[in-house]
Amino acid sequence: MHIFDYIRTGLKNLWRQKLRSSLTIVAVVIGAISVIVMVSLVIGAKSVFMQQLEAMGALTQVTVTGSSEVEESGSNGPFGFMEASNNEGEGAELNDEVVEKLKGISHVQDVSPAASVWGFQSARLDGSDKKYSAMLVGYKPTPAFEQSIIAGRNLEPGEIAKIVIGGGLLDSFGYEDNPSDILGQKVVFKTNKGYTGYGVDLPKPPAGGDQEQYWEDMNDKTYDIEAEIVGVMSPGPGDQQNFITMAWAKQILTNKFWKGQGGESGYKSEPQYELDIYNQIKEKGYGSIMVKVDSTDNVEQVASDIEEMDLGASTAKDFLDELTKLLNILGVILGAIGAVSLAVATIGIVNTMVMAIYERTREIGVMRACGASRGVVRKLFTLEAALLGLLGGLMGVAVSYGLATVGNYYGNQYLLDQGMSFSNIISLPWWLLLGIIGFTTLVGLLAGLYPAWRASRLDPVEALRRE
Amino acid sequence: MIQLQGVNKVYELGGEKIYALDNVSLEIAPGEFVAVMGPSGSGKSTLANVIGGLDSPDSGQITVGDQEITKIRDKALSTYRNKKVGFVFQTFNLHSGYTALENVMIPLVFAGVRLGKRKKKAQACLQAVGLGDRMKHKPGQLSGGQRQRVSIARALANDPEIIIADEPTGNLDTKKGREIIDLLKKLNVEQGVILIAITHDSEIARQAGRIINIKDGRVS
Repeated sequence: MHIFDYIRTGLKNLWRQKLRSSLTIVAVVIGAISVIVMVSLVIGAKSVFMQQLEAMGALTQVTVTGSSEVEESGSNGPFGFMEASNNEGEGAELNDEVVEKLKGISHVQDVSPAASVWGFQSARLDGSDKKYSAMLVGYKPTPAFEQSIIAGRNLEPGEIAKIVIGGGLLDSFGYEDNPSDILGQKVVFKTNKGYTGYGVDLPKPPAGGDQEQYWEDMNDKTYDIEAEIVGVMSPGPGDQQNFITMAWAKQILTNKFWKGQGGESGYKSEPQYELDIYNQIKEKGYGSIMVKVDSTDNVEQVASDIEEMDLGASTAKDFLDELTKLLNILGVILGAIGAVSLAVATIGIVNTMVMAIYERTREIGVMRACGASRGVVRKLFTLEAALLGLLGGLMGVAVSYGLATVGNYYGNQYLLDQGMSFSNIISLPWWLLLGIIGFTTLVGLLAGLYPAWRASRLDPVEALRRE
Repeated sequence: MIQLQGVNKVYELGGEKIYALDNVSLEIAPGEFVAVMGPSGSGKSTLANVIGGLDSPDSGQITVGDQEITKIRDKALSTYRNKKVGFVFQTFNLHSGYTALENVMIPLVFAGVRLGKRKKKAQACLQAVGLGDRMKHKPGQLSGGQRQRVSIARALANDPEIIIADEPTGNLDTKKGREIIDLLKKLNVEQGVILIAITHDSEIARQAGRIINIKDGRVS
């Protein structure tokens, strides 16, 4: 008997039991949709992260920290800028020498040190009193490290008192809908007490007399430091960071103090003071160094080269690997939940087939009388069950596609509002869809095996006698 | 030519052995019209079934033509049934969801005949039994007599050598019954198929060339 005839007969038989077939198929459809949607959500989440990282350039970036030990205890993610802490741990110091060495590694496009700027307790927009906290990161704004911006421009190397703000401050200042309007306005930072960096003209201690008061005043004094907003960054995971040039950061992080010269401290002679500086960065090194690699393929190699220099190197890949592991587990769990409903649908197929065969006993007798062998009967019923699975899978895929289109439409709106720009979180890769169809068909086939076997073992004479 | 040699079919019922067929030996020549008669439970249907390959004896031998059908496996036996035998039942046993045409096509599907060819053949068979204008009707839309004609058309689909009719007129009124017998006789004479009719109907017995009497599984 030809395969087409098997299929034709099977379909005809399913069509004859429309209601029963439809109900069974619906159960499979629901099961298929569950699995598809769950799994594709997880796939989509991963792609969302990838796209974000890519947009941030994090995929071709290696974050270098003091040493492997520091790297593990620290919290340097791929958003290296994010956690650029001033190097307080042990290990090799990150200085300009190291920067030069890193530049020499093959496939390295560019290198920029990064330093977190402490010393400012709050920031406000010039003209407003509302204070917010803001993280400042200094870096060397070479072309390789261009940030993705939605208004204005990137910093130019060496610029002083200019800032590129992130989404966080943008929202706090209330310009999320019209970022270009904030360009040119000034952010006013309030320094911590005792700040003596950039913008401070430190008065000499008084010649004689009340030094204590002087020092007390100095330790209490705060200053307002202004920075002009020249650019606004695209929204993303790094929203809390705001950028200034390394040049300016160095100035901010340079403490000044008057150092007394030796001399007689008799109240008649004038003490000599010399202005001394303590460049935090020079003394303690950079918090971290960003290394831009020419292509994602070479990132791993560069990272291991850096580690050989007894430095810590972390890449987006490490983060992604962790994330992937988590998402995979999530995917399996969600998929399993979806699979449960598919399992229930399978039981439905078995039940449908068993009932059908019971009701069609005479029909089976006729088939046998007309010359169908046991094998033919078995194959026919197995095929009917497989068709139930196949049709359920096909419809499940079709409905999932519809759901995904609708879901993505609304999902994209939501994400856009949240400031993340990109595409569809529910993605339906072809292998998932084909896999589900294949799976439901297989499941249907397996579900039909036992009932079909029973059908084939019916005694034709008995079967014909049945009413 | 059908030959039975020492055919036995035994059933166990509550510890007792019941011989549906008890050492049956007989011969049926090609083209014969044979009526098998006997009281209820005498084994008439069983005899028809083993000749038709719908059932297998427990011992003994049955040869049809040059094919021995007692010891062959299910696939081969099914092929024999498909190609060499046509069954006509008392209760018609038609597929209620199929049209007359589709019903007649059933044996052709199992014979591996493709759609175009089998449609043609089925149409021819239906015409041969006088139902050329009822091909798209479902059994529910046909009278008893017409249904039995469809059964006969189905039995003829693969040009069998043997037609086994088990009480073919049992569910029909006298007039219709006569029509059916006439039809069967006609086919027997015109096409030379062996016609084995199991029956109580004396009318059929009259038309038959030979009567086989069976009682308690034994043929006299």
